[in-house]
Amino acid sequence: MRRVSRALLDGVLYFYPLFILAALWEIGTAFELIGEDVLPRLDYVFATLWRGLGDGELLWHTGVSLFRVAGGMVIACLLGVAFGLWTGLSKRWDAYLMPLLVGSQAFPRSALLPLFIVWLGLGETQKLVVIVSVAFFPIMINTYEGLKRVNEAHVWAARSMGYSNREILRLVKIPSILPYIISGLRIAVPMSVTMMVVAEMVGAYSGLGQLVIIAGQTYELARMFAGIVLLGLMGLLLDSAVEALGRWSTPWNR
Amino acid sequence: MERLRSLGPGLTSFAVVALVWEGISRTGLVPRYFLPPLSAVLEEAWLLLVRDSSLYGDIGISIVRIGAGFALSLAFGVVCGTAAGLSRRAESFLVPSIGTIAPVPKVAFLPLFVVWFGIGELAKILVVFANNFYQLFVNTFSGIKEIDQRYLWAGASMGFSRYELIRYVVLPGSLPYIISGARITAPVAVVIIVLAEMVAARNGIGFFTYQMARDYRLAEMFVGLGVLGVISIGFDALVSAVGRRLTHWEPTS
Repeated sequence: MRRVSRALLDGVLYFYPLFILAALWEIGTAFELIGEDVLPRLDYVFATLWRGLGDGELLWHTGVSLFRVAGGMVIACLLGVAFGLWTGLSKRWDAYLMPLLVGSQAFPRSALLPLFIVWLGLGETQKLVVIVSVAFFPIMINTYEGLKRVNEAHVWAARSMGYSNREILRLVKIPSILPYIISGLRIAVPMSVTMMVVAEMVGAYSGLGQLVIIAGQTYELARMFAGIVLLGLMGLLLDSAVEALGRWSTPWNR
Repeated sequence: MERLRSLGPGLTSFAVVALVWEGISRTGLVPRYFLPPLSAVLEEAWLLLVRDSSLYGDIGISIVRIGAGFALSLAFGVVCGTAAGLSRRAESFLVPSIGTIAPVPKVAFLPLFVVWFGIGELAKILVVFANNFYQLFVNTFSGIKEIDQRYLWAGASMGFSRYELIRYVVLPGSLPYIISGARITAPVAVVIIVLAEMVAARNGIGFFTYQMARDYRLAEMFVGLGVLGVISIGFDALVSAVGRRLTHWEPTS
C-alpha cells in the first residue's frame, strides 16, 4: 500500500510542470489577463470534455476518427507486410518494384490528398485510402529490411533439420521480422493520425479533425481544446496498442 | 556498365507505369478529368514552369515557409534539448511538459494558430515548428546524454568555462544526433506545409495543388505534385549535405 502511494506521489511529482502551467492558464483566464479569444478557461475545456463525453457527442467523433485510423492501419499492415515479403523474398521483383516504391516516396504523401478527393470523393473510402497511403511505406520497408537481416545461421539450422522453404518462412523468417514490422507500425501511427486529421479538416462530416476546424471557425475555443486533448489521447492509445501488440507477439524479445 | 545494368529493371518499371498511364488515359479507358495523359501533364509543366513561369511565386513562398518553420524548430529544439541535457532542473520541467503534448497530432493546432495570428505566414510556420520541434528536442537531449562523460571531465579539467564546454564538447558531441533529427524532420516539414496550405492559405504550391484538384484541372495538379517532389528531394539533399559538412570527422555511411 505504502509502495503504491509512493509510486503515485512520484508520478504526480514528475508531472509537476503541468500543474504549474495549468494553474497559470486558469489564473490568467479566470482573471481575464488572457482574453477569451486567445485561451478558453481551462475548467471550461474540462466541462466541455465532460459534457461531450457524457452525452456521447465527442465520444462519437473520437470513435469515428479512431475507427478510420485503425481501419486504415490494419489494411496498410496487411498490404505492407505482403509487399515487403514479396520484394524481400524475390530478387527479381525486388529489382523491378523497389525503385518504383522508393521513387513514389519522394513525393510528400500529403500532396496526394487532393487527388484522392477527386478520385474517391469525401466518403470513408477516401479516408481509408489516405491513411493507407501514408502507413503503407514504413511498414513495407521495415518488413523488407527485416528480411535482409534475418540471421542466416538460423535459416541454415532450419534447412539442415529438413524444413521446407515455406516452413522456414513461417517459423524462422516471419518471427524474426516481427519486431521490424512493429517498429514500422509505430512510425506509421503519428503519420496516419496527422493525415487523418487533415483529411477530416478539408472534407468530412464527422471526426475530431472536422470538430477542431469547425470549432476554430466558430471561435469555440473550449471545444477546440477538447478536440485537441482527445486527439492526443487517441495518439497515445494507438501507440500503446501497437507497443502492447509488439510485446504480445514477440514474447522472447523482452 | 554494371551500374547501368542494375538500373535496368527500375527504369523498365517506371517506363511501364508511364506507358500504362498514357495509354489508359488516351484510349479513354479512364476519363481525362480523372487522369489526364502523362504527355498533357508534361506539356502543362512546360507551360507553368518554362513558358509562362507563373508557378515560381507559389514555389518561392512555400520554400520560405518550409525553411522558416524548419529553422525555428531546429533552433528551439537544440536550445531546449541542450538545456534539458545539461541541467537537471530544466530536464525535470521540459521533459514531462513537452512529452505530454507529443502524442497530439500537431496539425490539430493549425486552427488555433489561425485564430491567434490570422491566416498569414506565422500560423503555417508555427505548425511546422510545432510538428518538428519534438524530434529535434529528443535527438539533442539524447545526443547530449550519450556524450562520453570523460570528454566533459577533460574539458572541465582544462579549465573550460560553461560556454566553452558547450561550444567545444557538448555541441560537437551531440551534433550527429541533431543532424539525424534534422534529416528525419526535413521531409516532414514539406509534408506539413502542404497540409497547412490546403487548410489555411491563399498561395503556395500546396494551395495550388489543392485548388487545381478542386477545379478538376488534374494536369496542373500533377505538375504541382511533381514540383513538391522536387522540393522535398532538394531540401532533403541540402540538409544531408550540410550535415555531412558539419560532421566531417564522422565516417560516411
